[in-house]
Amino acid sequence: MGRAAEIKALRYSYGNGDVLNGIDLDVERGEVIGLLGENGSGKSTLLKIIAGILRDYEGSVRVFDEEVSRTTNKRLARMIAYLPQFFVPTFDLRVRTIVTFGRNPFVGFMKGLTGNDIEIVNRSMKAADVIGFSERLYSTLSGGERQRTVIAKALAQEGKMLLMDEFSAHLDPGHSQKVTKIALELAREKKLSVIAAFHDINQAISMSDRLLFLKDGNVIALGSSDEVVNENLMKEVYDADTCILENPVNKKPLVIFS
Amino acid sequence: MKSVAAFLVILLGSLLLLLLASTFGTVHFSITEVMRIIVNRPETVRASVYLNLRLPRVLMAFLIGAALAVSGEGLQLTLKNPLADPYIIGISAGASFGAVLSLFLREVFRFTISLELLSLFFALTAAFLTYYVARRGGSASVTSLILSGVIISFLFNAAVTFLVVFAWRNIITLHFWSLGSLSGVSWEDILKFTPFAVIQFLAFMVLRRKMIIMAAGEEHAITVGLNPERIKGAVFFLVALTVSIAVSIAGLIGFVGLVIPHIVRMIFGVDSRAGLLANSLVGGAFLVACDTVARTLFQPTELPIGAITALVGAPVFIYLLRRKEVIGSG
Repeated sequence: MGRAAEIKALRYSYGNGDVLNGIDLDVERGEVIGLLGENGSGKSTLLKIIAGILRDYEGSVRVFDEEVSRTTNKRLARMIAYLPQFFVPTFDLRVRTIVTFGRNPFVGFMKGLTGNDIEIVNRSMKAADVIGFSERLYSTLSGGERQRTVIAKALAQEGKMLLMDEFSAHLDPGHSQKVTKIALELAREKKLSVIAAFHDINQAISMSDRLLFLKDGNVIALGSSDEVVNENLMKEVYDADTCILENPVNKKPLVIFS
Repeated sequence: MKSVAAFLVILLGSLLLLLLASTFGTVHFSITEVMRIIVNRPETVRASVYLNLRLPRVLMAFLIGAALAVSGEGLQLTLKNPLADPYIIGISAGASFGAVLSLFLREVFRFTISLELLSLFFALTAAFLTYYVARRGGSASVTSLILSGVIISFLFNAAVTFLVVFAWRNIITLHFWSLGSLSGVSWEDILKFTPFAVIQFLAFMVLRRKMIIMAAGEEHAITVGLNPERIKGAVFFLVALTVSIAVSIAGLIGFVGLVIPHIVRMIFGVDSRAGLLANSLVGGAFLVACDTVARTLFQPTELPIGAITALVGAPVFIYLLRRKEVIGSG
């Protein structure tokens, strides 16, 4: 049994300069990694590479012992669920339809959904608490309800890894905290390995096992919040002066931007 | 239950329309006479007019309308673009160029190459050209796809005009060709077209679930295990196949594939099981109605059918274009 993910010397370029310049990262099974860095530091790119969206990378990205670039989309989707920042279907769909998308990697070419698939969809909708509005149209939902719908879709994939790209950054702080917490609690309950890009550093500190800081496509710090979070690092990452206190709720560092 | 009722109304309505439309025309039939002709097959001139001219024409209109609506539905979902339609994204113009090129080669160079094959080839070329011209950073936005479709259509239509005038010195037939007409349709045309329409319909049934996933975004489609390029390729191919045959029979008919899927979605929603069949029925009924207007409004003179569909379709296009969310989600 190998690690959840092993990334070695990963480089990526969109054609005008490198976005990632040699990333190394090992993710243990069941571990939650919080990904931090400024906009444009390469967080989204890293997640999209692991998800199999960007396949023309250099270096090695192995997920559960399989090299991503040589694994089919279908096979990857059975292992990895991806929660984007926004999920906006062009045409309006019912919540149930969207959650059922999560079963796509398991459906045979000619065969439709089985009773087992429908059972899993219902279970996922219960877990993410969207079953109450499963027949409603996505466009009629609030921001938080939409994100829960997307969480239910990810759960229905029954994978082993969850990728989150600033999943709830556009919601107000209360809802953002709540939705992210729901996703991570469910992930821990199911022992999923998680790599999550965060917008809010304190949210990342309180929810992750380890933090990975990116700047200009390089890893500048990796470790638990107690080990790595300090004023100098914050200055380097965010180019801002900070003051670090102890969070009275969880005894972890609390970053105050001054 | 409500959608089952709506579906039954559509089914009965379109069958009734088919029957009713076949009675109108330069020669008028009563419904009882139509029944008698269909059952008894008498050897009269009127019966022959009905069975060999009127009936195939109405049925052909229905089949082409159905196939165009299904094509539009497939393109709109797969390209996540509410304005997509085989006419608008240039597939029809490409098919028309292929067909005319084949006639041209035969007329001018005595070189015979299958009209359908050449038509299919250029329909596909047009589809991929339009798509890749519009594509930026992994996806084609709603408006840029439409723009590139318009340009590709212009290009192929200009080439058609050039070939036609060069070979035949004749603009009149060109006019009917480029705006579509169902006059002179025979049973052979129906036999030729039906298998392709059926293949497309069945393949789209199988692909439908995946098309709806594509409509939620390509990156999303990848993360639930689909291969977007392959699905787009399959949909382009199937649409090009039916549209190129349709064009070789009836010329360019626009907007059916644009308008009908929206009407069906308003009634049934996007993800209804009945969606595809409803598209066929409503699309078929729509084109039958348009063709009936085309051949009866100024009888005995005929209007090109594309003029009627455009009259209905253009306002719908403008309405959709003006709706902010459509463009915003590009």
